[in-house]
Amino acid sequence: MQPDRTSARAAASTSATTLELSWPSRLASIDAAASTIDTLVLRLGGEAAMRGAVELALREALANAIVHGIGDTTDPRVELTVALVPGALELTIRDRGPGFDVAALPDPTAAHRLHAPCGRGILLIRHAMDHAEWRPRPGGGTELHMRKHWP
Amino acid sequence: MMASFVANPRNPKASMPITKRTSGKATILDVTGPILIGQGDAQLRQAVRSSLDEGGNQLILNMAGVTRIDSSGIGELISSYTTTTNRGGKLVLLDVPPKIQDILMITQLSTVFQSSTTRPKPSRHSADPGSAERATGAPR
Repeated sequence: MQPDRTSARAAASTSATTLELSWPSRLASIDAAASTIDTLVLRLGGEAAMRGAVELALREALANAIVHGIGDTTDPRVELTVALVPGALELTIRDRGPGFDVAALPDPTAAHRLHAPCGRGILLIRHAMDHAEWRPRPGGGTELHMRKHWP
Repeated sequence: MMASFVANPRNPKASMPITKRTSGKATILDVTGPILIGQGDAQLRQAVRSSLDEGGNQLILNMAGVTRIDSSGIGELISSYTTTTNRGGKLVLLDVPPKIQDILMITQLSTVFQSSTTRPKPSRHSADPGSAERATGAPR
């Protein structure tokens, strides 16, 4: 599945390259997005550990956006921006869901939560990436900004 | 020992290959491919539950062929573990690939799952998940 909206721009002043993509908000889009970004990271020279970490974080972020972030829109989409900036690969995922307070989520590694069937996605994102920040999206929804140091 | 292929009853074309075989009292599920949200998670649940329904409650999940896993797949593993233990059985993981072992460590589930890197050998006596663990000094 190809992303249905794509744009790329190069910001000469920062030597950053930004790619903006969007897919329909459904589970099948996760594979498509993961494949697209893995190909990009590979072509940029990302090694196996980098590719694995980015894929894991991206899959978790997209799953959260798709499962929890549809909101009331009639044509729900998940939007992804990828930017290679000096020293880092940045990914931003946006949805139109009701949002959530990441600080209020329970710790999935607490002894009484270990047998819970869900609630580990954010833990995996934080572990895979060097920085992850969730913030309200202007106009409604959630924006997740993730950064991975790029050698 | 017998083997059978576990299909996804809802969508056979989307089935993740899970081969079921028995060795003594143990049921071994050879899981291959990804265990991701919408891809393999439901098939794993179905395979475990059908094994339990058939009376096998000593389950070994052979993870050697699992290519990737996400939090939904991890959730399915722990649900399978809970379901099995609630029925008085035991579920252990066999040959967990390193990158999946890493995720079990991150999520602290390595403290829950007993795993082994040694395949249980069929014998004239019963084979069970505990025998695999004892053979390697597991749990880890």
